[in-house]
Amino acid sequence: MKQNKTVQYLFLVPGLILFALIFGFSIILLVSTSLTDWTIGSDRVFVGLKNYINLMHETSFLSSLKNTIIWIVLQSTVHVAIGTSVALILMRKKFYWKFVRTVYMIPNIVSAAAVGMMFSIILNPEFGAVNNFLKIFLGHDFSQNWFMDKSTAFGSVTFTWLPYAATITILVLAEISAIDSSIYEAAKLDGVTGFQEVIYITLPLLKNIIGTCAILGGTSMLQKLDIIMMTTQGGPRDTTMNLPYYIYKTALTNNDFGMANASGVYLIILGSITVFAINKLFHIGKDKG
Amino acid sequence: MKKLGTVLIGIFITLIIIISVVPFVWVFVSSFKSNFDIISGNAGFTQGLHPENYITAFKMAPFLIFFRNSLLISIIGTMLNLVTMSMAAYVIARFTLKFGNVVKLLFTSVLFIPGAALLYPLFTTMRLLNLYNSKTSLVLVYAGLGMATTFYIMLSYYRTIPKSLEEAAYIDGASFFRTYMQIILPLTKPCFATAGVLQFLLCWKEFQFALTLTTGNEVRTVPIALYYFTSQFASDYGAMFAATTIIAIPSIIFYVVLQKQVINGLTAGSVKE
Amino acid sequence: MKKLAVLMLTTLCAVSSIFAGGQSEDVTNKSGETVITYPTYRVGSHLYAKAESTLINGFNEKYAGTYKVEVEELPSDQSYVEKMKVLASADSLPDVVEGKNGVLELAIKTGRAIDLTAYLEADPEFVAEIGSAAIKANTIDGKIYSISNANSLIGYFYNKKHFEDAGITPAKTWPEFMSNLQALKEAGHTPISMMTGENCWTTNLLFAAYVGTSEEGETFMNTKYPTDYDNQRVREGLEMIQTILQNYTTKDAIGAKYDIAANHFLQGTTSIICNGPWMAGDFTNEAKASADIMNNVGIAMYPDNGMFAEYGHGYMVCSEDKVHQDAAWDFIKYKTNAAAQLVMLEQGNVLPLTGNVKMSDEYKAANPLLSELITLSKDAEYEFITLDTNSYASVIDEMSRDYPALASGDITVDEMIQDMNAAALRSK
Repeated sequence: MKQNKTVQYLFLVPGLILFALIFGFSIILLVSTSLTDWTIGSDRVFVGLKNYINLMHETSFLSSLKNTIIWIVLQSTVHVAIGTSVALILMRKKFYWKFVRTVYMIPNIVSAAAVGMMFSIILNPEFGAVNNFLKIFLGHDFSQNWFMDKSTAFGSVTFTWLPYAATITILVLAEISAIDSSIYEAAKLDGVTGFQEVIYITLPLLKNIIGTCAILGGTSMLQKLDIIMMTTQGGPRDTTMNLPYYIYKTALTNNDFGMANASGVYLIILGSITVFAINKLFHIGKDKG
Repeated sequence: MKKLGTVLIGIFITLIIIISVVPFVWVFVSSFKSNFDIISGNAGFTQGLHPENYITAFKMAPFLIFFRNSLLISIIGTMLNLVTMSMAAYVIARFTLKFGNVVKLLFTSVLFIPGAALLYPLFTTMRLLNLYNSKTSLVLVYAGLGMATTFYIMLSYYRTIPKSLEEAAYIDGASFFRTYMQIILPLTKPCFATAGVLQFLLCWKEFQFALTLTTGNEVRTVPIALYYFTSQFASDYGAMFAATTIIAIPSIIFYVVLQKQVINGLTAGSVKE
Repeated sequence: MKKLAVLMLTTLCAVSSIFAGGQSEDVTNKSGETVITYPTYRVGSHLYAKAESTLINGFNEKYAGTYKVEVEELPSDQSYVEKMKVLASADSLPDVVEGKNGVLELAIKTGRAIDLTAYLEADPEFVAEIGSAAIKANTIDGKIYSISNANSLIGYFYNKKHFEDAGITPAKTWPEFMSNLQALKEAGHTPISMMTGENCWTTNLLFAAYVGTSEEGETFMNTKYPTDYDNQRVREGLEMIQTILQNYTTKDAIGAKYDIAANHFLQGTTSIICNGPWMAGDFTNEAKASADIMNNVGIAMYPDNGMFAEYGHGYMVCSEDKVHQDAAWDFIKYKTNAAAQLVMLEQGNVLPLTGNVKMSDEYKAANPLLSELITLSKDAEYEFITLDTNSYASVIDEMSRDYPALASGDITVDEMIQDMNAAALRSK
């Protein structure tokens, strides 16, 4: 098959062209300008690592870094666990499975901005549905400001994406559907119960896709912008600030592209570490023969 | 013990359904309320039904054009993304190529390149290519943005296809390309379906680049419509909820249809022998 | 084979559209008209959307064959400012740009804003229509970069019935203002609509009014881009806001955007809202205002006879070549001359730039609040511009960030002032 090496390399070309077009130039610009002092409208002045050092002293940046890391950990674990659990439940194809699969996906179909807007209204302290419900339930006045109260802000924002793991569910379900049913038949003959079947047979076979989901989930926290913009704008006082929103604010409110791009490089580094760590944890790619 | 398990599962699934459906149902119901009812948090319709909220919403933003554009861009963007990534994922999954790991790294990096930092570079790129304010620019950008997700899904899937199938084909004298087309591709249909759905949704929902890379309404997409209702001195909740519903319902219907036709059609008959 | 066909077709489409697609910058379009690119955020639910489209369509009709305005709709104020910033950094600003929230300074900085002095000198008739006061307000270092599009007088609105219940009248002094709030609260109403989201508009109006109704404060407010907010008046103003956020407003004021603050007033929940005359249209709009609000709204000046009086930034010409500059200038003139001011008045409740544009009697009868505002303004002792016009956007953003913490007592007024100063320096 030696002569096919050329064809094999050729197969990489379309993807690489797309990458170069969309990201190649962008990344070069990003990294090079992160080493400059560049505010909108001014010329770029080379300053070396000054931006990187300054960022380390900005409380807003450090908060955003901390929050982002927490969210990455939560998303790659809890979120994936929820999604996988739903998939494992649905795989038995009880009467409700198609309905749940579709319904669960609904929050993912609508844009993040719409979801954020809906949540702000629903969690509004005065007239939101949640507080109204709790008022009836508790029998007395209840006006917790979910998004803006220091104690509940982080949790509320996390809730807008953590349990909505329909993407994970459909990915895991797709993988499950490709599992050879003969394995289960053999197991049943051996007298394996439903629960054991899940733990000892299904889950190990799903290791790769779960690892992939952990990576996809974790890194999605590096792109969460619209929801935060629509709900808390990082408040109160950076409690819900994350790295993408910090970059966005620095670029388009403070007009500082140099600092924003340096933050961007930090984000890329964080992302690389995340992917590398998850890869190692799941030993993805080390196939069974 | 089994009973407890069933009950727990029942509660869990019910919760999942509640959190997925209730927010949207609430917005849908509220879209028929008057502003007064919404702001006082009334459960009922003390001021009657106000379906004219929808008429107001339609007048404020050009929904139909946006829907048409979103559809076009999403379909083409998805096709471009799936084709390029399946080719790349296949060769990397199967063969040890010299720069295989480098390519893998590059495509993965897409996952964590901050979108906000790309606005200005891509704006410049599209201008240089004379693609500013065109649907093509969005197709390319979206195909690019979804590269990593599609790549990972396909990579993961290709790894699970037993090599025996291809080996049999090569022994029969089939060329590389032919093997790919006639044996591998049919097998990966469910993978295409899943990755395709995710990519489609990415194209469908994206806002920032749609706004920055276009100027005219003839080219713009659905997510922008929602922002017509959030300008600084706007306060018409009824119209805003109506707009959210106008955006959400066709999207949901379309997804359901897509799921039925595409996913089920593709997932059937995909069990690997 | 079918797959192969699909594959090739896709690639072919993508590749060919790369070379065929997109819109290039036309000097003239197919009909030989000069194209004027004009982005606007006055679309959708914006209160001036109607007036805006009236003027644009009117211009296109009048100048058909010579000029054509190509509109880019930015669906919100925020997206407008952001898009302009991206365009500014790529040095490709459109022909006519509105200078809000820092865009003016950016256009000047990049050297793209044209000095309009020569154009004005060649057109004394137009100068009379916009008035020397408006021109002076937009003169920077002796140069005129923008033509104002609105004259803003801002006081505050109050619910007359609520005030009756509490037995009060609009306050003449600040201590009286505070006791009014207390009286309203005791009468069972939420005294005032506040917001800490977006640009803290209604909150900052009250804050800036407090600062501006003092001698040093008035100077402070009327000097652009301060970098040191550490003074007595600012400190007291923030303390006042802190008290109000804690005791005299709705629970959802923390984090609220404009729509929440407005709706609470429009539905009769709160008794006072600081806002400009453009809101008057909402009071008679059945879809927005509750029945008790209609015809029950009063307008007042701030204590110590303070009032906001500013000429908006208006429009700049940022075209590259003379042809487009001339075209852009004609468009700006059309959009800001006396006839346009009348349209903006009647369809948007925007005050004209000079007293030359008269309000018809029907208009006065239909808009008593606006007339009253103008009458009141004649007695104003302190006049100042809004915080949005006066301060860096990053400072206002910082205030939005800090107000919730101030209200919950997590930071002190001094710490907030430090944050505001740091934010100002960041933008320098």
